[in-house]
Amino acid sequence: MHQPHASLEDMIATAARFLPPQGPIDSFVAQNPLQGFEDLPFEEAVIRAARLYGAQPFLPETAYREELAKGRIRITDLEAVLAADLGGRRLAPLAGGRATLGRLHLQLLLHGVRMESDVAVRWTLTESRSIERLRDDLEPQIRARLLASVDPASDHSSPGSIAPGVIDGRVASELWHACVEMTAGARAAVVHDQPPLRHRDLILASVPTLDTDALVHPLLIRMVAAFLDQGVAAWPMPDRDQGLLAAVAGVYSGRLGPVEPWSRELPDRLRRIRGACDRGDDPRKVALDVIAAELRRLGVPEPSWQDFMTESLVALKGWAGMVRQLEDRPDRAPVEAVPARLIDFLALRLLLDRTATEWAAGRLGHPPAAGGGPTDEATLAPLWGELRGRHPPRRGPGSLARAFLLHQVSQLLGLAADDVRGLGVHELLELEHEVAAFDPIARRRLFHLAYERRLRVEMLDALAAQWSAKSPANPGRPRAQAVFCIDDRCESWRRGLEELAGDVETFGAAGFFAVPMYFRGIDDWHAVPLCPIVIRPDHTVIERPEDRAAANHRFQQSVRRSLGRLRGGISEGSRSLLRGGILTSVGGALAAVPLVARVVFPRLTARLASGAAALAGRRVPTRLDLKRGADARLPDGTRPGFDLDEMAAIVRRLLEDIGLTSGHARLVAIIGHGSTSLNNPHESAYDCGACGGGRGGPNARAFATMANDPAVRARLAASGLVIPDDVVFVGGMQDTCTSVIAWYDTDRIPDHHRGEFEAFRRLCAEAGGLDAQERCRRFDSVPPGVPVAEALGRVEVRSADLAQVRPEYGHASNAACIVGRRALTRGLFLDRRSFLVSYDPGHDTAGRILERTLAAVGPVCGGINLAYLFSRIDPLGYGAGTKLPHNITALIGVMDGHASDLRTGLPFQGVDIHEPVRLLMVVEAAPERIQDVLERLPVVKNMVANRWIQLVSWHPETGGLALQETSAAGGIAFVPYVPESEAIPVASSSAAWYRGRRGNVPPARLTAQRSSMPGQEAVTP
Amino acid sequence: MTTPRFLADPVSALVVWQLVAPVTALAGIGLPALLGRPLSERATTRLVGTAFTTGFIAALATLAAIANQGFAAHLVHLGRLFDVGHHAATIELVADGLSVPYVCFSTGLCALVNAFAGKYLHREPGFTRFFILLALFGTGMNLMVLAGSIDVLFAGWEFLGISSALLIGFFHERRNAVDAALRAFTTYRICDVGLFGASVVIHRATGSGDFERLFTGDWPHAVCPVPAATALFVSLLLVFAALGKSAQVPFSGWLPRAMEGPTPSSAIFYGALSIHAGAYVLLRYEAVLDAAPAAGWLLVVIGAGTALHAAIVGSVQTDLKSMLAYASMTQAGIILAEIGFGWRVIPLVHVISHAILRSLQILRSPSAMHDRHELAAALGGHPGPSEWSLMRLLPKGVSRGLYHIALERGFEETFVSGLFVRPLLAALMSADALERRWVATLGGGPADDRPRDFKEGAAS
Repeated sequence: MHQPHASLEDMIATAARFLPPQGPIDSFVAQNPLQGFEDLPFEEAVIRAARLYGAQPFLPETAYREELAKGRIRITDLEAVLAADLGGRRLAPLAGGRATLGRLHLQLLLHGVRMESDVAVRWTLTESRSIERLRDDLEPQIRARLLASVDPASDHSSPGSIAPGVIDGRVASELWHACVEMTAGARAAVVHDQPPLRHRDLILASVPTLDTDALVHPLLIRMVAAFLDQGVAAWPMPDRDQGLLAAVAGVYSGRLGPVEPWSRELPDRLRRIRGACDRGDDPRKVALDVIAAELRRLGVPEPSWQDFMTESLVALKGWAGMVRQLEDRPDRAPVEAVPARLIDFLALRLLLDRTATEWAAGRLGHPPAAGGGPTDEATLAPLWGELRGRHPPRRGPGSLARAFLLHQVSQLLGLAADDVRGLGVHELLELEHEVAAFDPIARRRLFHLAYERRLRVEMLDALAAQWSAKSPANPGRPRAQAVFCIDDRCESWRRGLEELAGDVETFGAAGFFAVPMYFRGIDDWHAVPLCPIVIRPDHTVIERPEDRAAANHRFQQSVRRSLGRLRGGISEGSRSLLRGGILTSVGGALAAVPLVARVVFPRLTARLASGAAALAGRRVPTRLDLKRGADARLPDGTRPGFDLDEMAAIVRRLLEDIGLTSGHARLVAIIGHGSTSLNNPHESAYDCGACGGGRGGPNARAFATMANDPAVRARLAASGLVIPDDVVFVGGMQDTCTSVIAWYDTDRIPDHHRGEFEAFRRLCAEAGGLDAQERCRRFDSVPPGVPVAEALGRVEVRSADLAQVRPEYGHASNAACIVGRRALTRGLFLDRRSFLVSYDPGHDTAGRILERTLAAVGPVCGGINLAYLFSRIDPLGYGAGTKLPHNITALIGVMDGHASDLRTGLPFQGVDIHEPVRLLMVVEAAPERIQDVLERLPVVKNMVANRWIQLVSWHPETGGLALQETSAAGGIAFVPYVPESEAIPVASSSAAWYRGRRGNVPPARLTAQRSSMPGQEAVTP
Repeated sequence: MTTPRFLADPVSALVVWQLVAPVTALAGIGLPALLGRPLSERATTRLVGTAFTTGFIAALATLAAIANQGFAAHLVHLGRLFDVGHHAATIELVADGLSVPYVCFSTGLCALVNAFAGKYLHREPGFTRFFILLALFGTGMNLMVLAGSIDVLFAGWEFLGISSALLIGFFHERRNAVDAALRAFTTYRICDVGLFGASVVIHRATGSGDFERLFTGDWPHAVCPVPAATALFVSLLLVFAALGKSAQVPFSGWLPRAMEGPTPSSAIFYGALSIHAGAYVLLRYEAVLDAAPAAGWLLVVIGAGTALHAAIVGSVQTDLKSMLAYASMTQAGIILAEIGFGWRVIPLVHVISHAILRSLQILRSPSAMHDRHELAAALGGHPGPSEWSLMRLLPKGVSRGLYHIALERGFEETFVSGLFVRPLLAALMSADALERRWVATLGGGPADDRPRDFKEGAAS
């Protein structure tokens, strides 16, 4: 052993950081797919990551140019980002002072140039006449200058009689000849790229039809899927409890082994591994031994091991990432934890790679040294060395290609033939060098920055205007307060409530409401974690039927069990041999009823189904097992429920976070959220990110129960947080797909609050209608301007329709996150594009609240934003591609078709309307305070310093905005922001502002707000 | 030449409409798309929906009409390809107890899929292409089912094959999808030899491809008066033809791979319609099979073997679509065995019934997580492995070995590629090398005899 296993394990751990962070699909949490690169500045990271994953760093140049044409990117944005990017070099003279570097870059961005190979240019010359015409997109003065360069005297006829097209053609041709002369004779540069590391890539580069991954992957996918399966297959893999490597070695070492030519040696090799496992060796050591041995046999020199292993894992990153996720968090396995180990996966992968490579080597005329047996010989080293040695170099542009490029650039800069001929050699080379250096990636990068800048300016200008027009604080006690999740989708609902009733206040808090727990609902079969994924809860809460309903519940449960058995029997039976034969031939036709009903009448069917469920038995009243009696622990090591101190701490924590420690309304609603949709493997991607891809309703309910508990209130009062006795908390859950709120424990609302609650419930329903209406404007299949009632029907049917691939749009279009008092943003139309986090700097003298708020919302909102950003930028490389061929595998993820890598990221149908921009995080705190707080939050500071988040300080006293900039030393600094325009559009209501528009709508100030909650006056004394 | 009289009576008009409707839809979407101005999504689905819905209604009306006449065959004569006295090829449709129920359900399913796909494929780049293929598929299906002669049936069969292959390769930017489509198409083409051969033999034996010349009596009571040797030969060819489309061992490998297209196309085409096309042809020629009991027994053996193979292999599949593909294959095997036993109405009912149930399951397959959680909640835990508890009684080594065979899909692909694909490729490559040398010799150029590396890696 040259390499001790400890350092090998470190290398594997490093490689694992580059795998997608996505866990099983039933608790989908949107996270940054480039987590492994977060130590690098964003712009550098995306380019490096694109190389590793074979993905795109930015949108295609054409997409940005379309945005430019639409005015979404303006020339001023390009000029601004160019100025920042080039700094002092912007005015550096080029082409003997006839242009500047800034001008060159701007022209290249605005108009673009075609880079072609010599062959393509030759084709263009012979087959098209494009070279004999000036470009169509030249600016008028430049065109005039070029046309003026032609000498009329050299013409035989009088100048007036020449048609403009003729002069145009002559100028272009002369320029072309000048360019050819200037570039003639230069030889194409040869670029020696770093040859790839993996044998597969080397072989593929030399024989394009010989792809060893095409041999290895189908087999490896079958093995890993069988190992991880959570219950699709009726017959589970034998020996799964021993780990992937041992189980595969057991199954595949049989005498009946595969007889594919490439894998003839495999059974013997696996038998040796199986032998080691059966001897009782430590499975980790067995796997590490295999990895070390295979690396040596593959002939990879030790300094390259790290990169080689990273690339080997990334080659099937979805599956490798899933193995890693289930290794780290076995508690998140949908059904049962399996002993997943990434080292097992890597060992198997390298073994298969070596086997396939040896076979391929034979076909390339490099049969590996005879034997190839148990010795640690580097049998494939010669092949690896030779293929790397003769890796074909890339050729730079030839002289024609250079001339072609120079021809276009000269036109854009207004250089006529004589100007080009007048260039010195040095000047010419410099110009060409600058053009080449401003390659497509560099152009796309700048476009992207400009794209982000426009939105930033729009948003910050609106905030600045909002500050100067902010309304005086409302003196009276609000009628009701509603705490929603910080989710961008709650923005419209909160705005709707506020528009409907001026005396209702809303707040935003991370949607697990400071209650981290495993939760098992009355209809669930096991407990699932409901809290941000970084937290491993220490408490389990179980929902139980009320005592008086226990008998009823038992009866319902037994009915449900029988029905479930029947359904399960049918679905399983239909796949089996004998039962299936009888079942499908006799009863199959009955399926016509649900088939026709579901496809043709989805809404009616859903209503009938829920009606039937209601008929079968009303949901029994339940309560949460919140209070812990004895200090016991459950079998899984968690504690049942919370004790009084813990509850008081939770309530205090949330109320402090959102600044609601005083001034409570008589009714405080706590509203979590989730999403219901059918036929949607990614359903949980629409649930609450702060609940780890679960639904936040139970957390809201638990919080309300705790906050209503007199004992908890007494404890809070003792420590100075007084909640008046006339304050009632009530929990609810908002369905972001159907725009409906369901309320919990309404039977426990005291009679003296009942009227207020009923009024508030109606108000929320009304706001839900507005929410549905606003959401409908985004759906292409809904005609514009549908009335509220129809909008509610439309969103309801989307959640119940088997054929609907866009039940809702999730976080698509998210762009900003505002941490601060709602009073500052109230009445501002934010188009569901902003996370809204309530935070009151006035209550936070030491910055402690800001610290814990940023610690939570920075990674969560940043992660969501980056997941959408990358899934949109490269739907195939980072996203899950189109949903249509998705195939649920092992109940943990989806593949494309029958055997592909696990598709991670978001499906294209969820991001097609998204604008990929980095999160603009506006924090209502002085720059110094933010700097101070970030020093204590290394993770967030890293994201901010490396610009994965655009951070803005909004001064709570002056209202001044300041943009974060990263100093050379990596420190956080702020630069004051000067608004571009002082004016902000004004509209009477949200609906009036967005009416008739499908795309993103800029911020506007809403003027009309109803003064009080309707239906309220009659009730309050 | 007799003048076509297909519109002479209402039943004929109804039958003809079932062909005209999908063809109209095909032209209505296809021509504008060819001219570069494809119809809007809404217009496309409306057009195809109208075609299949009216076709479905026409089929139901036909069913009522012929049921009224005791399911007597109703012939619709459309024309004649050629007629040389003793030998003729006619274009003829037949509405009888087999074709009409079958066309009812196939057109109905197409209409449902159209309704589903209109929403499912919303904003998808291949939207128009999908509906063109759907209309083509419906045309081929109805042509095959309503065929009154083997020539028409063959034409429908081919439309079915090509549209199925193109739908499997719908996402043609993905290599897996294209490979799977090519595999399915190759399998289809190999087995088409059977149908084509049968057509030649039948023409030779009866001087025509018409069913009325081959059979006497109406389905399912038809008898076939050809000599036993001819019956056996035709039967064997037809069985061979059915093996490919119905995914029977050893030609079943394409079916699980075919799950590359969009879900609605998987649902009807492989789960429900395409996979039963073989069964339909065999049912159509049941009288010939009756005259050749040996072929019937062969069919029973193949069908039962496929059913057993698919049931075992299906039980270890870990993805929803492969699992459903093998479940379909199991039933397709049983159905062929039923046909081999000489039953007629039972397999027809089985086909229709199975196709409907499986379509529902495939359309619902993205809900698997949902359904699984509901089931687990109802049962108070996840349903454990039940079916294969029997396997646990086997000795460990044996059950591991059996699991291995199942996970490797019975080594069917390895076997097929080792026995057929690789030798064929080798032969083609040596022929290619030979030709190069030959051309070089004649042309006097340098001999380029480097072996062309065909996609051998992917074939394995």
